[in-house]
Amino acid sequence: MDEVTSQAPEYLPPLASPQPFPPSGAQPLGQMLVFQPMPGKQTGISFGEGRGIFRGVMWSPPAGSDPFMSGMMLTVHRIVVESQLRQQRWNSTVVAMRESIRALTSEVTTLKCEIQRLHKLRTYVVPLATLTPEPFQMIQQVPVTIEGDGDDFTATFVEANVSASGETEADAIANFKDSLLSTYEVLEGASPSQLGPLPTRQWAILKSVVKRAE
Amino acid sequence: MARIITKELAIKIRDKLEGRPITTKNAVHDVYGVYHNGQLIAQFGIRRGSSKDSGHDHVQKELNVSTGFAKQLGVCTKQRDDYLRERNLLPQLPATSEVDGRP
Repeated sequence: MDEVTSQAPEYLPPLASPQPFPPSGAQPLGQMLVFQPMPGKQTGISFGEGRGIFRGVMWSPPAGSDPFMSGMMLTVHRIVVESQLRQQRWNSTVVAMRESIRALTSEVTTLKCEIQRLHKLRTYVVPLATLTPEPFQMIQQVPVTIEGDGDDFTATFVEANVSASGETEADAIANFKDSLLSTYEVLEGASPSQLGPLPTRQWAILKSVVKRAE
Repeated sequence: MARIITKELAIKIRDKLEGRPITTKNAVHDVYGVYHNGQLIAQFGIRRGSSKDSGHDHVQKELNVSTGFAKQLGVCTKQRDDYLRERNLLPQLPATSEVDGRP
Protein backbone atom coordinates (compact mmCIF):
# COMPACT_ATOMS: atom_id res chain seq x y z
CA MET A 1 0.00 0.00 0.00
CA ASP A 2 2.76 2.43 0.93
CA GLU A 3 4.56 1.62 -2.29
CA VAL A 4 1.50 2.40 -4.34
CA THR A 5 0.70 5.64 -2.60
CA SER A 6 4.30 6.79 -2.78
CA GLN A 7 4.06 6.40 -6.57
CA ALA A 8 0.85 8.36 -6.81
CA PRO A 9 0.88 10.87 -9.71
CA GLU A 10 2.10 14.32 -8.86
CA TYR A 11 -1.08 15.98 -10.04
CA LEU A 12 -3.05 14.49 -7.17
CA PRO A 13 -3.71 17.11 -4.51
CA PRO A 14 -1.54 16.67 -1.46
CA LEU A 15 -3.33 15.14 1.45
CA ALA A 16 -3.72 17.37 4.40
CA SER A 17 -1.83 16.10 7.34
CA PRO A 18 -4.09 14.95 10.16
CA GLN A 19 -4.53 17.26 13.00
CA PRO A 20 -2.75 16.22 16.10
CA PHE A 21 -4.63 13.90 18.25
CA PRO A 22 -6.35 14.82 20.44
CA PRO A 23 -7.49 18.00 18.65
CA SER A 24 -6.99 21.33 20.23
CA GLY A 25 -10.63 21.67 21.26
CA ALA A 26 -10.71 18.41 23.15
CA GLN A 27 -10.20 18.35 26.79
CA PRO A 28 -7.64 15.86 27.91
CA LEU A 29 -9.50 15.78 31.20
CA GLY A 30 -6.29 15.74 33.07
CA GLN A 31 -5.17 12.39 31.85
CA MET A 32 -5.38 10.88 28.39
CA LEU A 33 -8.10 10.80 25.77
CA VAL A 34 -9.67 7.50 24.97
CA PHE A 35 -11.51 6.63 21.85
CA GLN A 36 -14.21 4.05 21.66
CA PRO A 37 -15.54 3.21 18.22
CA MET A 38 -19.32 3.25 18.18
CA PRO A 39 -20.76 2.56 14.72
CA GLY A 40 -23.68 4.78 13.79
CA LYS A 41 -22.61 7.88 15.64
CA GLN A 42 -20.84 10.66 13.86
CA THR A 43 -19.37 12.62 16.59
CA GLY A 44 -15.68 12.56 16.92
CA ILE A 45 -12.85 14.33 15.25
CA SER A 46 -12.62 15.90 11.86
CA PHE A 47 -9.21 15.88 10.22
CA GLY A 48 -8.38 18.60 7.73
CA GLU A 49 -10.76 19.05 4.74
CA GLY A 50 -13.24 16.66 6.22
CA ARG A 51 -10.92 13.74 5.85
CA GLY A 52 -10.62 11.21 8.53
CA ILE A 53 -14.12 11.66 9.91
CA PHE A 54 -14.84 8.60 11.87
CA ARG A 55 -17.74 7.36 13.81
CA GLY A 56 -17.31 7.11 17.48
CA VAL A 57 -17.47 8.85 20.80
CA MET A 58 -14.71 10.43 22.77
CA TRP A 59 -14.84 10.25 26.36
CA SER A 60 -12.55 10.65 29.21
CA PRO A 61 -11.50 7.54 30.97
CA PRO A 62 -13.59 6.93 33.99
CA ALA A 63 -11.92 7.32 37.24
CA GLY A 64 -9.81 4.37 38.01
CA SER A 65 -9.78 3.06 34.46
CA ASP A 66 -6.79 1.16 33.25
CA PRO A 67 -4.26 3.52 31.62
CA PHE A 68 -2.93 0.58 29.58
CA MET A 69 -6.32 -0.07 28.05
CA SER A 70 -6.75 3.66 27.30
CA GLY A 71 -3.40 3.66 25.52
CA MET A 72 -4.45 0.64 23.51
CA MET A 73 -7.61 2.38 22.43
CA LEU A 74 -5.60 5.41 21.34
CA THR A 75 -3.32 3.23 19.26
CA VAL A 76 -6.27 1.52 17.61
CA HIS A 77 -7.73 4.91 16.77
CA ARG A 78 -4.52 6.01 15.10
CA ILE A 79 -4.40 2.83 13.08
CA VAL A 80 -7.97 3.39 11.93
CA VAL A 81 -7.25 6.99 10.88
CA GLU A 82 -4.08 6.03 9.04
CA SER A 83 -5.96 3.27 7.23
CA GLN A 84 -8.60 5.74 6.15
CA LEU A 85 -5.98 8.11 4.81
CA ARG A 86 -4.29 5.30 2.91
CA GLN A 87 -7.62 4.22 1.54
CA GLN A 88 -8.26 7.73 0.28
CA ARG A 89 -4.86 7.92 -1.38
CA TRP A 90 -5.48 4.54 -2.94
CA ASN A 91 -8.89 5.65 -4.17
CA SER A 92 -7.34 8.73 -5.78
CA THR A 93 -4.72 6.56 -7.45
CA VAL A 94 -7.36 4.14 -8.72
CA VAL A 95 -9.42 7.03 -10.14
CA ALA A 96 -6.34 8.43 -11.88
CA MET A 97 -5.46 4.99 -13.25
CA ARG A 98 -9.01 4.50 -14.49
CA GLU A 99 -8.81 7.80 -16.36
CA SER A 100 -5.43 6.84 -17.83
CA ILE A 101 -6.80 3.47 -18.96
CA ARG A 102 -9.79 5.18 -20.56
CA ALA A 103 -7.50 7.59 -22.43
CA LEU A 104 -5.26 4.70 -23.53
CA THR A 105 -8.26 2.69 -24.72
CA SER A 106 -9.39 5.64 -26.80
CA GLU A 107 -5.89 6.02 -28.30
CA VAL A 108 -5.68 2.31 -29.08
CA THR A 109 -9.06 2.46 -30.84
CA THR A 110 -7.90 5.42 -32.94
CA LEU A 111 -4.67 3.61 -33.82
CA LYS A 112 -6.59 0.46 -34.76
CA CYS A 113 -8.72 2.47 -37.19
CA GLU A 114 -5.60 4.08 -38.66
CA ILE A 115 -3.91 0.69 -39.07
CA GLN A 116 -6.99 -0.68 -40.82
CA ARG A 117 -7.03 2.31 -43.13
CA LEU A 118 -3.32 1.93 -43.92
CA HIS A 119 -3.79 -1.80 -44.40
CA LYS A 120 -6.39 -1.08 -47.05
CA LEU A 121 -4.10 1.38 -48.81
CA ARG A 122 -1.80 -0.59 -51.02
CA THR A 123 1.19 0.89 -52.75
CA TYR A 124 3.70 -1.14 -54.66
CA VAL A 125 5.84 -0.94 -57.75
CA VAL A 126 5.63 -3.26 -60.74
CA PRO A 127 8.04 -3.26 -63.66
CA LEU A 128 6.40 -2.64 -67.01
CA ALA A 129 8.24 -4.66 -69.63
CA THR A 130 5.93 -4.93 -72.63
CA LEU A 131 3.42 -2.87 -74.55
CA THR A 132 2.12 -5.77 -76.66
CA PRO A 133 -0.09 -5.79 -78.72
CA GLU A 134 0.62 -2.14 -79.47
CA PRO A 135 3.24 -1.47 -82.15
CA PHE A 136 5.67 -0.15 -79.58
CA GLN A 137 8.54 -1.71 -77.69
CA MET A 138 9.97 -1.00 -74.32
CA ILE A 139 13.67 -0.17 -74.52
CA GLN A 140 13.89 -0.80 -70.82
CA GLN A 141 11.53 -1.67 -68.03
CA VAL A 142 9.87 1.22 -66.26
CA PRO A 143 8.77 1.17 -62.64
CA VAL A 144 5.03 1.69 -62.37
CA THR A 145 3.76 2.65 -58.94
CA ILE A 146 0.35 1.18 -58.15
CA GLU A 147 -1.64 2.92 -55.45
CA GLY A 148 -5.08 1.80 -54.41
CA ASP A 149 -7.54 1.24 -51.61
CA GLY A 150 -9.64 -1.55 -53.08
CA ASP A 151 -12.11 0.72 -54.90
CA ASP A 152 -9.82 2.61 -57.23
CA PHE A 153 -6.25 2.21 -58.38
CA THR A 154 -3.77 4.55 -59.95
CA ALA A 155 -0.76 3.46 -61.98
CA THR A 156 1.98 6.07 -62.30
CA PHE A 157 5.37 6.37 -63.98
CA VAL A 158 6.49 9.07 -61.59
CA GLU A 159 9.56 10.29 -63.50
CA ALA A 160 7.56 11.00 -66.65
CA ASN A 161 4.35 12.27 -64.99
CA VAL A 162 2.34 9.66 -66.83
CA SER A 163 -0.55 8.22 -64.87
CA ALA A 164 -3.89 6.48 -65.26
CA SER A 165 -6.68 5.22 -63.02
CA GLY A 166 -8.78 2.09 -63.00
CA GLU A 167 -11.18 0.16 -60.85
CA THR A 168 -8.75 -2.75 -60.53
CA GLU A 169 -4.97 -3.03 -60.67
CA ALA A 170 -5.23 -4.65 -64.10
CA ASP A 171 -7.50 -1.86 -65.35
CA ALA A 172 -5.15 0.77 -64.04
CA ILE A 173 -2.15 -0.86 -65.76
CA ALA A 174 -4.03 -1.28 -69.04
CA ASN A 175 -5.16 2.34 -68.90
CA PHE A 176 -1.64 3.36 -68.00
CA LYS A 177 -0.24 1.69 -71.13
CA ASP A 178 -2.80 3.58 -73.16
CA SER A 179 -1.89 6.84 -71.49
CA LEU A 180 1.85 6.21 -71.90
CA LEU A 181 1.48 5.62 -75.62
CA SER A 182 -0.83 8.56 -76.23
CA THR A 183 1.60 10.83 -74.37
CA TYR A 184 4.42 9.39 -76.49
CA GLU A 185 2.49 10.01 -79.70
CA VAL A 186 1.57 13.57 -78.79
CA LEU A 187 5.10 14.49 -77.81
CA GLU A 188 6.62 12.67 -80.78
CA GLY A 189 4.47 14.71 -83.16
CA ALA A 190 5.32 18.08 -81.62
CA SER A 191 8.37 20.17 -82.40
CA PRO A 192 10.61 21.03 -79.41
CA SER A 193 9.59 24.69 -79.62
CA GLN A 194 5.96 23.72 -79.07
CA LEU A 195 6.73 21.98 -75.80
CA GLY A 196 6.84 23.59 -72.40
CA PRO A 197 9.24 22.52 -69.66
CA LEU A 198 7.19 19.55 -68.41
CA PRO A 199 6.46 17.99 -71.83
CA THR A 200 10.10 18.52 -72.83
CA ARG A 201 11.22 16.56 -69.79
CA GLN A 202 8.54 13.93 -70.42
CA TRP A 203 9.71 13.47 -73.99
CA ALA A 204 13.34 13.12 -72.94
CA ILE A 205 12.35 10.33 -70.57
CA LEU A 206 9.81 8.60 -72.79
CA LYS A 207 12.05 8.36 -75.82
CA SER A 208 14.63 6.64 -73.69
CA VAL A 209 12.20 3.92 -72.58
CA VAL A 210 9.80 3.46 -75.52
CA LYS A 211 10.30 3.14 -79.26
CA ARG A 212 8.15 2.20 -82.20
CA ALA A 213 8.34 -1.45 -83.18
CA GLU A 214 10.15 -2.07 -86.49
CA MET B 1 -7.43 5.60 -54.26
CA ALA B 2 -9.91 7.55 -52.36
CA ARG B 3 -11.53 9.13 -55.38
CA ILE B 4 -10.50 12.64 -54.52
CA ILE B 5 -10.64 13.72 -58.14
CA THR B 6 -13.73 12.31 -59.81
CA LYS B 7 -14.51 12.49 -63.50
CA GLU B 8 -16.86 15.39 -62.75
CA LEU B 9 -14.02 17.32 -61.11
CA ALA B 10 -11.64 16.35 -63.91
CA ILE B 11 -14.02 17.88 -66.44
CA LYS B 12 -14.22 21.06 -64.36
CA ILE B 13 -10.41 21.15 -64.23
CA ARG B 14 -10.27 20.72 -68.00
CA ASP B 15 -12.66 23.63 -68.47
CA LYS B 16 -10.81 25.77 -65.95
CA LEU B 17 -7.46 25.15 -67.62
CA GLU B 18 -9.00 25.63 -71.07
CA GLY B 19 -7.85 22.15 -72.07
CA ARG B 20 -8.00 21.46 -75.79
CA PRO B 21 -8.70 17.98 -77.11
CA ILE B 22 -5.75 16.26 -78.69
CA THR B 23 -6.46 13.58 -81.27
CA THR B 24 -4.72 10.32 -80.42
CA LYS B 25 -5.28 6.64 -81.02
CA ASN B 26 -6.00 6.31 -77.34
CA ALA B 27 -9.01 4.06 -76.89
CA VAL B 28 -9.48 4.64 -73.22
CA HIS B 29 -8.97 8.33 -72.60
CA ASP B 30 -9.95 11.59 -74.17
CA VAL B 31 -6.66 13.47 -74.05
CA TYR B 32 -6.56 17.20 -73.40
CA GLY B 33 -3.64 19.57 -73.73
CA VAL B 34 -3.09 22.70 -71.68
CA TYR B 35 -1.38 25.44 -73.65
CA HIS B 36 0.35 28.65 -72.66
CA ASN B 37 1.97 31.08 -75.10
CA GLY B 38 1.53 28.55 -77.88
CA GLN B 39 3.36 25.82 -75.98
CA LEU B 40 1.96 22.60 -74.64
CA ILE B 41 2.56 22.75 -70.91
CA ALA B 42 0.66 19.65 -69.78
CA GLN B 43 -1.64 16.95 -71.01
CA PHE B 44 -4.02 14.69 -69.22
CA GLY B 45 -6.66 12.10 -69.97
CA ILE B 46 -10.29 11.74 -68.94
CA ARG B 47 -11.61 8.20 -69.13
CA ARG B 48 -14.21 7.67 -71.77
CA GLY B 49 -17.51 6.12 -70.87
CA SER B 50 -16.87 6.17 -67.14
CA SER B 51 -19.43 7.44 -64.65
CA LYS B 52 -19.09 10.96 -63.26
CA ASP B 53 -18.06 9.48 -59.91
CA SER B 54 -15.27 7.35 -61.33
CA GLY B 55 -11.83 7.98 -59.90
CA HIS B 56 -9.49 10.28 -61.83
CA ASP B 57 -6.75 10.62 -59.26
CA HIS B 58 -4.18 10.45 -62.04
CA VAL B 59 -5.06 13.94 -63.25
CA GLN B 60 -3.07 15.81 -60.61
CA LYS B 61 -0.03 13.68 -61.38
CA GLU B 62 -0.22 14.43 -65.07
CA LEU B 63 -0.73 18.13 -64.32
CA ASN B 64 2.24 17.98 -61.94
CA VAL B 65 0.39 19.57 -59.03
CA SER B 66 -0.65 18.37 -55.61
CA THR B 67 -3.94 16.64 -55.01
CA GLY B 68 -5.14 19.58 -52.92
CA PHE B 69 -4.31 22.07 -55.67
CA ALA B 70 -6.06 19.95 -58.30
CA LYS B 71 -9.14 19.71 -56.11
CA GLN B 72 -9.15 23.47 -55.61
CA LEU B 73 -8.93 23.87 -59.37
CA GLY B 74 -11.99 21.70 -59.65
CA VAL B 75 -14.04 23.43 -56.98
CA CYS B 76 -13.39 26.94 -58.22
CA THR B 77 -11.07 28.43 -55.63
CA LYS B 78 -8.08 28.24 -58.03
CA GLN B 79 -7.98 29.57 -61.55
CA ARG B 80 -5.91 28.96 -64.65
CA ASP B 81 -3.50 31.76 -63.69
CA ASP B 82 -2.97 30.10 -60.31
CA TYR B 83 -2.03 26.90 -62.12
CA LEU B 84 0.42 28.78 -64.36
CA ARG B 85 1.94 30.42 -61.31
CA GLU B 86 2.12 27.08 -59.54
CA ARG B 87 4.10 25.76 -62.50
CA ASN B 88 6.29 28.90 -62.54
CA LEU B 89 4.98 29.89 -65.96
CA LEU B 90 3.69 33.21 -64.69
CA PRO B 91 5.45 35.56 -62.27
CA GLN B 92 4.42 35.05 -58.68
CA LEU B 93 2.13 37.63 -57.13
CA PRO B 94 3.86 39.97 -54.68
CA ALA B 95 3.25 39.21 -51.06
CA THR B 96 0.39 41.11 -49.41
CA SER B 97 2.73 43.19 -47.25
CA GLU B 98 4.56 44.49 -50.36
CA VAL B 99 1.28 45.52 -51.92
CA ASP B 100 0.38 47.42 -48.82
CA GLY B 101 3.75 49.12 -48.84
CA ARG B 102 4.59 47.67 -45.46
CA PRO B 103 7.94 46.05 -44.86
